[in-house]
Amino acid sequence: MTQTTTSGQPVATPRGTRPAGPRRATLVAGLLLGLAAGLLVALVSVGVGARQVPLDQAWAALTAYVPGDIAHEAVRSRVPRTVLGLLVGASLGLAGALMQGLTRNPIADPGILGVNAGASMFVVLGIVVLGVTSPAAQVWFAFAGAAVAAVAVYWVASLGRGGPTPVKLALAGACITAALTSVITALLIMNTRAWDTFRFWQVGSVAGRSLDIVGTVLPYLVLGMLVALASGRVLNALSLGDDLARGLGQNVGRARGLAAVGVVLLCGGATAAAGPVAFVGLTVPHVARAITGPDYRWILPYSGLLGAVLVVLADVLGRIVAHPGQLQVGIVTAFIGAPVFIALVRRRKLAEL
Amino acid sequence: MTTSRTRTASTRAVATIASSLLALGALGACSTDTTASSDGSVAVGDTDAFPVTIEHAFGETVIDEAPTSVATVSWANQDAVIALGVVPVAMPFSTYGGDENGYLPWTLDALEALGDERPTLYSDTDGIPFDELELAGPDLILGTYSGMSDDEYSQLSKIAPTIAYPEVAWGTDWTTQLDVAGQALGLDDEAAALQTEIEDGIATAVESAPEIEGKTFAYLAFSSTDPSVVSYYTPTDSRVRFVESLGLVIAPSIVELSKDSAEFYGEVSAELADTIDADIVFAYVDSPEHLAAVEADPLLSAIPAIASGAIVVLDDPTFILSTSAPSPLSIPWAVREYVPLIQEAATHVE
Repeated sequence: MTQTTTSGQPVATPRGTRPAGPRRATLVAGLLLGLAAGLLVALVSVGVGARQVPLDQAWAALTAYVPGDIAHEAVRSRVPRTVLGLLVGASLGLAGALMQGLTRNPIADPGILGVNAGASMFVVLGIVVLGVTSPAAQVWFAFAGAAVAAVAVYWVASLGRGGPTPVKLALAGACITAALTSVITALLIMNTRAWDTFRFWQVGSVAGRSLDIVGTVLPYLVLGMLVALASGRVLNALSLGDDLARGLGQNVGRARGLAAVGVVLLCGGATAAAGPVAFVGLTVPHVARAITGPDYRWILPYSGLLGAVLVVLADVLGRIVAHPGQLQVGIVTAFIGAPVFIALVRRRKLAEL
Repeated sequence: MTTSRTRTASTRAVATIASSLLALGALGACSTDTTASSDGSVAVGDTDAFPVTIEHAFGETVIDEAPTSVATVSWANQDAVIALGVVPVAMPFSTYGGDENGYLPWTLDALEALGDERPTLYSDTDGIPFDELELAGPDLILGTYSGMSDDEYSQLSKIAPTIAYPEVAWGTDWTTQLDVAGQALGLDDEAAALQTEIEDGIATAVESAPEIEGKTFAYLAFSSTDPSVVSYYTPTDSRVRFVESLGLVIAPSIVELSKDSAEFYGEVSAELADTIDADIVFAYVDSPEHLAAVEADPLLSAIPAIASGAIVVLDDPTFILSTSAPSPLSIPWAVREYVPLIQEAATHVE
């Protein structure tokens, strides 16, 4: 267990044996390196696609755009998906770290805690009941669904003795996911048009989204990111357990509530814009933790950066391996994330967050 | 494309086909011995032909006596039976493309022409309802066009002799459906005569539209949620084969994209839209608004046929089903519906 003072400074190492993590200067350098990596994958993402466009023409597409020139149009069509990939990746990485710290549950993830299922459910209801098929409008349904599901899971997990423990949260999330998935399936079976619209959204993708969608979710994602990045100290305190955190002067209920709002903003916004992208929120925080050590003030920014890099990289990979078609980013992240997840599960100490 | 206008035309067209089918059915009834079975129902086919053995993907099925009560599973199979003048005892409710009572227009017209006797419709949205099928008391179950599993086949076989698809799941064309139904019902001659009649009808329709012959085409599906890719149907797909049967030629780029694929469709990035070099594009879209979005998309509008407007728009499930699950009743319907649309598209070819 990490001991912290009320100001959140770690003063001892977990279980008294593990080193506290790399020094501050190293961690800052790592963050800068991460930013550089993010910039690099973003450039690659704009430069690489099904159509091979020479670098000078790709540059011209951005600086001396000729409407109707297919090479220029191809390059420009890669910009929104790159921006969205960075945003969604950062949001999911941060949301995963927040959820894991908040619930002290090492496998907390938007998928496991029912948020994706809630968003999906509302999107399907929007299609079936109100005939909403435009992605820009679906964003709002996904967003509301994510929030409702998160609240519902938390409420169900809070029932009974002991409050919302990690195990109860995971079970509540699994139950609500199972229930919602059944309802979604029932609705879709009876409505083929809804199925056609939904089946694409169901696998996360950053392709073919316009900058309008980015604009719609951007304020919520930015707000969520700010809340997340400000939650480091609170999560450090919560990692000691509720009683100790209270003893250290933290208002546990309020701290949890604020971080939970951050989770809903990030997961809801990201899932609304790109659909459920698997494994990013689950695995990225563990990789970040392996680099930074247990201090959430570092885990959070690292998770955001790593998530952004991972999602954009996965989108580029999907374009290369499936040429002349493309794989949806949710499929690629699952491909990359599943082995990492198995490796994590096989490490026993995972269960001792 | 205005659906209401084409619907009216189609109703007339199907009525014509259906009445000729009725005549055929009457012919069949005259030329063969009808035999009353123990429960009073009557076999329509040639009873001397039995027992009949039919081979399919899961082995051989022996039909000992001329069937009197036929049930069908999956899509299209009911049409082969009805086309031969026999009303099934049970068939699936058509959720996709059907009317509110579960009938596809070509099936309904043919049933009405046969005297409007109605089969029991069952829902198969949650899998084949074996209990309901058993209750209908069939002595033959036809699934020539289907993707039934080995397990489903075994369960169906406990109810009545069952015929699965010949080799490829969902790959049975309408002539084979007709041929197998003819054998199973003892109506071989009638099936052969009907096939000739349908093929003559297609030939006449093609002759009447010489301007579409030899035009290249690509069969594409657009997604309203992801304009960054286009799906294309490969030359093995039934839709593509149907358009070929009307005298059009698959675009070279689609042949090239499909050459290493065993799938019925593939995807190509919208960044390569300008390489889809077809005279005419058959386009699945969600709605007229979606079509407008495709035509305005900076990448998708680079598809030459989209730019020229040589588009056969497919946004109606009934239209789509008529050739994606082709049957001896849906194909004549589709020929009448599609040829004028292709003629119209051909006027835009540059």
